[in-house]
Amino acid sequence: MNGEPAVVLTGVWKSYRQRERGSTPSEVIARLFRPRFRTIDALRGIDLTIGSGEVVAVAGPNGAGKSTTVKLLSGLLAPDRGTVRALGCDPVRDRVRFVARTGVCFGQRTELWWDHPVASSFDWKRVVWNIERQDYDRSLAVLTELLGLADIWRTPARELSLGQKMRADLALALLPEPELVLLDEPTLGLDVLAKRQVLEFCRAINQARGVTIVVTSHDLTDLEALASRIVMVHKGEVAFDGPFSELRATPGTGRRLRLRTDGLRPVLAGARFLETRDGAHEFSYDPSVTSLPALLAEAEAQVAVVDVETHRPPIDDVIAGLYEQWRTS
Amino acid sequence: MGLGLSHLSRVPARLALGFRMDLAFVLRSPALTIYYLAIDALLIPAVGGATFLLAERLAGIGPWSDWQVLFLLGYATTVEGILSAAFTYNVSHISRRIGRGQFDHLLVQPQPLWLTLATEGFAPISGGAALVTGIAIMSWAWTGLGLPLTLAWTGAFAVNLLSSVCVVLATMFLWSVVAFWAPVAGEEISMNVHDALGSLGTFPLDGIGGAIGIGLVTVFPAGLVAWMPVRALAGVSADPWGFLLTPAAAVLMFVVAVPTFARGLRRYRQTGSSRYSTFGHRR
Repeated sequence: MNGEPAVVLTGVWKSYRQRERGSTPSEVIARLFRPRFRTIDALRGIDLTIGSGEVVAVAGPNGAGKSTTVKLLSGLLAPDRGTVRALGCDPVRDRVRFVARTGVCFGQRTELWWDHPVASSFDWKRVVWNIERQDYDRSLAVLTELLGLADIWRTPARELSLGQKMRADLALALLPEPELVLLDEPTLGLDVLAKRQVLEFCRAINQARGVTIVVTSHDLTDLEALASRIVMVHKGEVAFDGPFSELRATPGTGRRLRLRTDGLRPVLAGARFLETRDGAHEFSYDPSVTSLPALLAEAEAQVAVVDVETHRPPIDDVIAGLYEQWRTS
Repeated sequence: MGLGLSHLSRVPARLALGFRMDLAFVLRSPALTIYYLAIDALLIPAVGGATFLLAERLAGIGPWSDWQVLFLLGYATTVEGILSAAFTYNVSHISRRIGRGQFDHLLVQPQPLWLTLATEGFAPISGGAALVTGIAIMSWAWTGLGLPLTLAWTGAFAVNLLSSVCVVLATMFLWSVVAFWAPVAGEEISMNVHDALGSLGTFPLDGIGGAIGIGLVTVFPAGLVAWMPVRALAGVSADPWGFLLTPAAAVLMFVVAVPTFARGLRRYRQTGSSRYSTFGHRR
């Protein structure tokens, strides 16, 4: 990990113009002559710096600007305003130099050659990326071991399962030993085992090679397992940038208290009731405001408490709470 | 952002890779490949079959003898053969890649776009049936016509053939630019352009004058696919400059197509693709 950041976005704006279509025949005809457009600001002056060797998760609700961010970083899109620098390059202007040092993997967009065995796609990558034979052999040996490619090596891509395809695609992206890896929804549609393999691989490759990883996903549990830092994008702006622990500490995302009682639900002034399931009542409370003993005393004064359990809310719930806050604010 | 001509030295390795992958593909299912090649070999020249039968029945068409018409048919088939052997996987049908959002796959490769487009579609065996058929037909007609095998004629033939390929590619790429603006409507436009060029390209277009005649060698250059070059090569026209018309048109079209496509690409970089389909990608 050197001192120079891997990615620097400065005041990046990206807008799309969307044509508004008519729904009735008369409206359709009218809009043929007087088309209407609306502008969608996907990114609104984003500033973001990612250090070399960091693993950063980019999250946000649908349409927040996550994929746009990854596309800007991979050089597939140019910003309307502001600058994008990655690995010291402008990803659009210095495309060839930049992509040679970058691995890109879009979930469900395979780079594999469909009618060829997986091995052929790797041979293709070796030639197109101009990888020296000894580097290729070394990198392939590591990837084969970490991602278990041996069992699918001679299978045509079209016969692979979704999880196998993603493993092969990840290995293909990592084959040239890139310094920066951009993963857009890498766990989309994968089963639990395949997800775990992908996440463990990413962690291993980050620790072994110090690769900078930028990953987007809707699955926040996955992101928390992989990344040390999360950038939440909302309406084209960075709404949160910091470690997951800090995100969990944001107001309104406190701890959970589950009380199993004699059946009655206590009313707790210092906690918010969430739900009753399987005879247990779940509350949310902020430990910095209300202490657990105080809450228990309040409950026992009203009902007979049989069992008590406290836990952190799942990260998905934390984020869902934030999305809800943003939506209503 | 230069042209990256220093990458020229990488072309042979790319083509060798294409050949290797294509050979492996063919050897994996030989029966299917033979079936596929046989259909290609029969169907592609069949596009011009009607013209040839007419020429046979009438002992020629206008100033064209039946052997010259056969040479025209063989030439057009060879042009088609080069396209299907060297620009497959929807490289020539680039509007499909643009319209389906598959262009992203080209942009993440560490090489200039021209190198990717020039080499990624190289499949000389599985795509070579039309090329073999075209050469066979041309050789037959060449013998019947008693054409000279001089260095000058062979050179003119090679330059015209490559120019015709260039014209077809440039026309398909030019029309495909539409897909940058209208990905859904434009997705199949290169296929339509290709079909129209292929069917019109096998006709002797003599006698078609006026706007249509001019249009068929300019705006929609079906006349440059085979008619114009074969007029010179097969001795239909005595114009000494006839050999140069198609190469000159190819250069002109190339000069127009490159910046037009680059303009479309700039648009793609601004808007990206709002749709993605894996259909036809690297198959």
